[in-house]
Amino acid sequence: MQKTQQRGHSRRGPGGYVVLEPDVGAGKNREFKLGYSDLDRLKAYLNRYAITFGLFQDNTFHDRLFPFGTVPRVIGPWEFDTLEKGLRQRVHALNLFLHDIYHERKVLRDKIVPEEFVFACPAYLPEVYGVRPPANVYAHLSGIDLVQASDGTWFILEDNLRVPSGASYPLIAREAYHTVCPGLISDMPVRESRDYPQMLGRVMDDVNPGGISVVLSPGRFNAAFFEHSYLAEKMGVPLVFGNDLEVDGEYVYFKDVGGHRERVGAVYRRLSDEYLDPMVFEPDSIIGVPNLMSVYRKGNVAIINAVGNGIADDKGIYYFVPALIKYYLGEEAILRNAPTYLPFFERDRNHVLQNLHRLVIKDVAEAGGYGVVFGSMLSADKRRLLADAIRAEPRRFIGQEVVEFRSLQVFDQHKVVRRRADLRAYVLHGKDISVWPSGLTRYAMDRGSMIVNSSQGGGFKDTWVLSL
Amino acid sequence: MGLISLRTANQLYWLGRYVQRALDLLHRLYETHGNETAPVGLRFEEFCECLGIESEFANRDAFLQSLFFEKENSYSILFSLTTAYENAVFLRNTIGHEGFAYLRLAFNTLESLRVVNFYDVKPVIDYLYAFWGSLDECADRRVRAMVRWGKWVEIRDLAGRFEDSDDKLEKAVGQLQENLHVLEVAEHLNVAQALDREGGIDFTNELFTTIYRP
Repeated sequence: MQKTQQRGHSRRGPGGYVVLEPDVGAGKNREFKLGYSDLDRLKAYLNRYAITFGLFQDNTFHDRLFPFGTVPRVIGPWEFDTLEKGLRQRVHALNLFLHDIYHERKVLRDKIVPEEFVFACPAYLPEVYGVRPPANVYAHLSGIDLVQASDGTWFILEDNLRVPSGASYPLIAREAYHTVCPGLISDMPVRESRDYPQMLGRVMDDVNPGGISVVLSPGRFNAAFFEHSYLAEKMGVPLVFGNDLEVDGEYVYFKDVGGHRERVGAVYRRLSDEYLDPMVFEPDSIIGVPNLMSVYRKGNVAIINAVGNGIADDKGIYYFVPALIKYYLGEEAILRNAPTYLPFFERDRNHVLQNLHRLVIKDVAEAGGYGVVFGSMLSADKRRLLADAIRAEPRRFIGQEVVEFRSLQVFDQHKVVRRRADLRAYVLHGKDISVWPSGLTRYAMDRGSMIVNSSQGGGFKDTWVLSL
Repeated sequence: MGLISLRTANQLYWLGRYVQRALDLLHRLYETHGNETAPVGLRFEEFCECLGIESEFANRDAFLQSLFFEKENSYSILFSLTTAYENAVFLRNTIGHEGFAYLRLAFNTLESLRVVNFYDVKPVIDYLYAFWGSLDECADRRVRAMVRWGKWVEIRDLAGRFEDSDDKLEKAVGQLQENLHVLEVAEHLNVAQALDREGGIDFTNELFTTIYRP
């Protein structure tokens, strides 16, 4: 076989291959590579199972195949070790913050976080003030978004403590790698990640006050319906819709077709707080379970993630997370936030307004990559309008330095191109806090683009964490 | 034994019916119009009459094109597989993602075809049999019984429409009765009543006359 001229380069042509980066084989005097034919097989494998992520365009639902970038992201063991420590620390602090906000509120009295940032936030739910979730766990499953700058530094971009999606995609992709190229995975060697459903199942068992566990889906036309279905199958629990459950007295039950019913102790819900219980939140919701909240308040059902978590992953609160880590744990944050400014504070507001041309501005009420504006891409008129909006509603925005994050290899149309990519890491919190040794790497479809969100057409990769 | 909601039971039943409708009609079309010596049995006008649809087709080719690919024809193979697939999307966790994949392959293969060629359709039949096999391997026995219930109701329905032999009708009834050993009568009743509500038909009576017909 013809040898490549330089390590890390790919050979083109029908017998071509991609040398995986980082070049972890260099020290072992060998290359770890994936042939083009295997990359094609991997794509075909996922097509076979209809791995979809729905998109709403022009008010129409399109259940499209989720673009699969078959070249995996590789993270070395030492690097992941640091990520793991930092992520556990962060989720630990956020869990304590959630308990505090819905109980003692010491963090407000000690002025670590201004009250306005809590009480003006729509995700703060007074309905759960004083409610202690089973085992006192709020953030059972957190999806923490990170990017790696070109110098290798990792930055946290966003915390997702409500209904973070995406783990099933690298999970099924890993099945594909084990089928198509099992030798490569064992040679490198890559840490096992296919036990994610069991990890999640254990978290549910840890907090379950009695009864079966279920996955509660809003329905077929949810963007991540594939994931709801796949995880339910792999966890061996029923996938239910709201009208499959009923509350009777102190408990919630699953109604079996045979006429009997089973008590439900843990609900991995994939719908937002406002649709969970029409008797408490959105009265027109037909996808929730009437009176579910009354059972939750009594501690007779665990809701995963806890109701009211949105206050902790609000983009405004993000600014304060390093301070929260210091406050609750007495430690410095291991992982850094992207440099962020809060226009709410006069000094930061002036900085943002003076540097609008080079900052990225985010609307705290938006998610999924929406409401993100790069100042450098705005016309002078639009920049003026944005400045006016920031002056009028400073609490609504944050400003961030643009992190030039790393581009990864993507196999596209039989050639390797580079696209910017982030990483969603999954942190599970039951009796213990653990980090799934994989993650959803999302990449931008277009060259130079920094929008990697699945809801805006981005693709995904598996994330390989090496054990040696 | 796994838990099954009423909604899921309903969808399993219809999944079984539509998969079997596609498979049964593919066989019947092949037997009657699948080679040069055909039709050995029914002309296409008679085939339409059995199904209770208008036989307004200009010729046999137009009839076959409609029976295979017309999305608005509720007896077309494509309609059956589309509806079966839509049900399967809801049921992926219940029937297993391998079973789901075979159904998807059958659907995709048929959808990729433009003209009727019985050789090209063979893989569709293969995938549908693989689906039934996968169901036996992977699914919970109550789930299997629900889907099979739909399957044998469809076989019995088509056998009646095409005036098949008494042996075939008896076999279908026998299979439906066998399912009663797996599913409690109450479950059949619950699903039947749910179908009555959704479909506006008196399915509960139909169920019992089907199973307990003298």
